[in-house]
Amino acid sequence: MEIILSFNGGFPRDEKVAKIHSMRNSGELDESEFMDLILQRSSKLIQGLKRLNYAILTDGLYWYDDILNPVIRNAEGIEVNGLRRFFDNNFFVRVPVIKGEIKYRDAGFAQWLKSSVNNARKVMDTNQRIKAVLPGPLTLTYFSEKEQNTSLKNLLQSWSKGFLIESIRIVEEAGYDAIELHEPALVAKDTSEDLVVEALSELKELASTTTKPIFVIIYFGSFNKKNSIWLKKLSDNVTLFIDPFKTRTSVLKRYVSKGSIASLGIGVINARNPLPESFNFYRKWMELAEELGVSELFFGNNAPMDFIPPRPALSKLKKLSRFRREVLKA
Amino acid sequence: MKKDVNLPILPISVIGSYPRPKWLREMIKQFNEGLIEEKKLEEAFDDAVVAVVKEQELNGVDIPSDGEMRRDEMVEYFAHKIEGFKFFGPIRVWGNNYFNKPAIVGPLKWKEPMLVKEFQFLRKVSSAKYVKVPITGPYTIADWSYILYYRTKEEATFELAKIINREIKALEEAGAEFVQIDEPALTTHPEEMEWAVEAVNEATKGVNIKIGLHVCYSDYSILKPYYERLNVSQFALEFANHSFSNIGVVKGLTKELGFGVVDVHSRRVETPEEVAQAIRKIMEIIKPECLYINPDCGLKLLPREIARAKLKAMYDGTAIVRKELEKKGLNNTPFRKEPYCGY
Repeated sequence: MEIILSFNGGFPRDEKVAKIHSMRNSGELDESEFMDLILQRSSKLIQGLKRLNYAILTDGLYWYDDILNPVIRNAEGIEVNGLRRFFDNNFFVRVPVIKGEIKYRDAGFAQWLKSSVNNARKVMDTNQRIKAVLPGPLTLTYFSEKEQNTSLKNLLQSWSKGFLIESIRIVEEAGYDAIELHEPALVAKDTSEDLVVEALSELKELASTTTKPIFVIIYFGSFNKKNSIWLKKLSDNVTLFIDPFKTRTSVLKRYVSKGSIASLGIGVINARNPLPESFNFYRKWMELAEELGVSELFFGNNAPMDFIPPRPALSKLKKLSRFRREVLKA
Repeated sequence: MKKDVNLPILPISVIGSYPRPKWLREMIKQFNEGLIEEKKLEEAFDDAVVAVVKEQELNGVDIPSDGEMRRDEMVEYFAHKIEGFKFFGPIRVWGNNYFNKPAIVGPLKWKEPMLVKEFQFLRKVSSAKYVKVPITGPYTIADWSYILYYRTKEEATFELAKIINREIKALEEAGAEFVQIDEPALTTHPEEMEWAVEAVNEATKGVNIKIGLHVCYSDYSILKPYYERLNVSQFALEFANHSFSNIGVVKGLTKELGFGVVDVHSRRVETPEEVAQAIRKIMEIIKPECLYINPDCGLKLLPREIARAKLKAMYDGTAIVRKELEKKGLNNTPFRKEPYCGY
């Protein structure tokens, strides 16, 4: 089994990144100056991740405010409105209010993607892969506020077909190696089984529109009978990233049949706790993956890392890197 | 001489925080950069309290607070003063807004009074009959912290409840008559409400002064089943932020209501008539003798001139309704500490 280190979602913004945002917000920087400075900070992060042997990574998402923004600002038929709590965290996201038909309408996303991927390539090793990050259709639906009488199923389809297919095309065109879809809503308690099933069908359709690998990141909730259909092989190019802090090993053993999943991601770094995990914890999940017959195991953070400060976040990434080195030595 | 325990009908209060004067923010910055001594900063805090208390009183507030001038943030402030906390650094809450999230890394212990000096200074500089001391509640402190020492959030919350209880008793001993427990997180995990409510009660155990409970950013239908069980005399809740569409949720409340009449998230200053209209509407549910008037939440995040204008609108609007009540012979209401309001 191959262990591949993966950096998922965003890295916490340090004081310097916060200052850049603050200067943009106060009008001291225009969008292009803002982009230059943000990408410089991204380069530093990517260099660090390169030293730690993270083979697949994002740019750190210093230009994102949350998992929905600025992505949804490129959608027609919505307005970005008030803040909503991001699951059970002291973190809030700006949510879309549905006003009409949802369609992709570029508001600078394509340019950001291109600039960021080009910037990353300058510092990455040739064997590293860079991922673009998008919210999944179910999570977009979960956080949407409806003003019109649309069913959740229709809304899910609108986000998927009207917005995400085009977003994925733009990501591909920009030159990314992979796509990271965040779907924490899949394991939210109040997501219905019907929607779970519908979301799976939409995910398969999205996956069929691209040849790029898609990593579906699931966090803050556990798998159960309702959503276990996602624990089967989804599509050739889709890898599921699960949250071991919410999922028991017994649950995986129950729902994943041996040898059915060639590639699996496990978020063994808890992005909500500043203390590092133990090698024993990593080992337990590594052994489980082996037992399930996984050939490609992605180890990384379970969620965007904005919930802890930069220093502990970096320590945790370093520790996981040390673990992998020891496993390779052994 | 015995203190007159009556307040004007519809007593006006604040939730707690008020915008820091610009010069105070400058001095805090200078202190953080090592340019001025702590003593100077302390003096600046005192001066700021004098200024904002006067500002509240001049704008008709009957029960002022010290504006929480000394507190950067409502959880962080207490975490610095309670033993067992550690700070790893700031994290984002939304957009580019940060919070220095504390971590519970050891047994929690009350070290020394946290708010007594604040209260004593406020009492000295305010000419109001009663003043209010806000204190962050145990559930919110736990919910907004990393819990790395205790096995569960519940365990940590009850430890914090004992600490908050000790602090409220210290305030009572120092002469405080009105303490408000702030619990913005209380309803955020409905499945934890049963024990969270008991933790708030633990914090008020053996206390014999007026206790208010402020809950905001919330779905009050989650709070409603616990109105009776919560051992407090007053709920201070936000309504303006919801255009008063949610006032039905206080039907059946037998305690005092601190009624939020101005929206602290909007810079638009409400008109006195809007305030009066809202008060008339709530009086269809809660009798005037059981009503206090306050902003939805702390005014801290507003520009100072807007906060001041909102206080004035609150007073002017209340004055309109007070005149109407006067005609019915309702001029005063007693300062109650009991957990019910004569229903």
